[in-house]
Amino acid sequence: MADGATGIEGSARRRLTGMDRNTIAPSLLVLGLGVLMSIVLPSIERDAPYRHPLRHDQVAELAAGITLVPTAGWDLATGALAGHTRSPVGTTATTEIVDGGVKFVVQAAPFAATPSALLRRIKQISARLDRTRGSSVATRTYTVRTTQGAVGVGQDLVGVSRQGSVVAFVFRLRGRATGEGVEVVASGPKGSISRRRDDIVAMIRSIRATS
Amino acid sequence: MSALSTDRRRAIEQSGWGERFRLIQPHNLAFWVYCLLVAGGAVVIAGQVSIAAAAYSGALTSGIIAFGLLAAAYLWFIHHEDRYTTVPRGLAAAGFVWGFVGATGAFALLGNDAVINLSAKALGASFAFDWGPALAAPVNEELAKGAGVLLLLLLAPRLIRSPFDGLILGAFIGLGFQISEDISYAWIGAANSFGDIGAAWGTIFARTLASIPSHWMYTGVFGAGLVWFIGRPDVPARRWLGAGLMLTAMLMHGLWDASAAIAGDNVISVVPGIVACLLISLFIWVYENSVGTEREWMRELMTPEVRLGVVEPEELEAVAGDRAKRKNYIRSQPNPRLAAHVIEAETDLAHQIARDGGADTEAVRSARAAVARARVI
Repeated sequence: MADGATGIEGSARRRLTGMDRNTIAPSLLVLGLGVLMSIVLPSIERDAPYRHPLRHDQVAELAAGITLVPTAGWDLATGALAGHTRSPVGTTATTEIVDGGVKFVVQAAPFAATPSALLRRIKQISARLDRTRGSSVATRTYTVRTTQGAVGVGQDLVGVSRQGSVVAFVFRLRGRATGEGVEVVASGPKGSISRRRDDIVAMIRSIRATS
Repeated sequence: MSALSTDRRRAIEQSGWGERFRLIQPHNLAFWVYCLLVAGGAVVIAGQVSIAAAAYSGALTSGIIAFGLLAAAYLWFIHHEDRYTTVPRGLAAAGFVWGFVGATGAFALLGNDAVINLSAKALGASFAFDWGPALAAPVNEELAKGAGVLLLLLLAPRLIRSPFDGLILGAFIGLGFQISEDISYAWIGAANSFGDIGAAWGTIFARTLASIPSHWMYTGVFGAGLVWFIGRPDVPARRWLGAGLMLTAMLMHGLWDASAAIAGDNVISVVPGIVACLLISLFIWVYENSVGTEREWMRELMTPEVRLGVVEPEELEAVAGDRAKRKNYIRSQPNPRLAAHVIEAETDLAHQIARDGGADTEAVRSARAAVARARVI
């Protein structure tokens, strides 16, 4: 059969360390691409610092019609700042604010029941996930109130080396049949999260419905 | 038939039609790289699936069933369009697996996250919110899927002989990637909505609606471009065309992913509609401009059957012609159903002749008899 016009075909008998010579360079190119995407880029990303710390005047848009005032100096890892994005923020959205090893993650999505029901749902999911990623001990539930007056329920979680809090709210927004559930999970190493307790409480209390 | 025509012999040699695909080739480095990256991808995906199975099993199952059915429909369609010198099932399966496991797990999942997070760190989260996916996905994902076309080209150089083969193989790889991504989006949709399975079905509905101008088309265009860029023994390299098609596939993908940011405050964005029209037109253009070689091979392979009286000249035009020619021929016959059966039997005969290297075997004689039977059934 006709062969060899492109170099891909080459001669199967020309070998280098047991491999067909003509397959080595392109295969290594693909392998290199895989290593770049799965190892090199994630490694560069892990070591890269945030260059845009949050300022006092900035407001995070958690979902359409719900905002939060982040603590200045923390970094917005995922999410949108009100008035700073072209894409609209939908009713289902994730916001992640970080400082050191502490993560403050807010998940918003439509939810048609009470904050207690939302917390129960979150705990059910967590209990199922605990079977795969290790468990934590939960404290009693308590009431949380935002400065706007919205009432949510919270619970603290303590693991082996990390601890945190889960807080659930359900906001009733004007013009929407279904409420908007908001889940806040603040977690981090025990010492780090204790030092940032006031920041975390302030951010939770700043959550407000804007419509 | 005692003497093969020169044209038939040339068609079989040039097209690689009838060649079997062997994945296991210990002396071919592409085989080891393929296995390594598919295994690595499987580990990454298994980590995700374990979370989904533990906490969002309903959404995961819904995604697997719904997108499994969608995959079956697209596999049938792509196979149906690959009606001339068909890509063997083993090669198509290897491509689908690469897209489903290797390109997603070993490349895109980690690479996309890294690029989006890097853009958030360097340029701000709001920038990443708008443009992160459009920066990361087109480059990472098209290169990841295109890498599969290259590896399989190294594993099956006698089978991938034309840009049309690149188009079809790319479509299979892209489809594997698309279905893998669809299933993960289904359970992630539920995860982001406090486990609400209704959100998973919303995602399934939206992704199914948007499934035509998607990965199978991007990678089909990219695959044809890669084959044109490299060239094949009987298809001279056209570097500018090849590079242009690969870049265009990335550009279309980027525009699609950036459509929300481009639209801004406009409630209805026209960008996805424009991208969909452009992508479908481009795919059809590539199809029309690459399928001619395949049709010519079919014609050369079957011309001796006309001389033998097995196939009528107008039937050859239909078998080696495009969809319109075939449909027009069938409709013009007194018994269109019978004519369709005959055309089908003649296509089967072509595949049998190719499988047997043009020899006059028992199987070929049996396929000829099937054509004769189809005329009277």
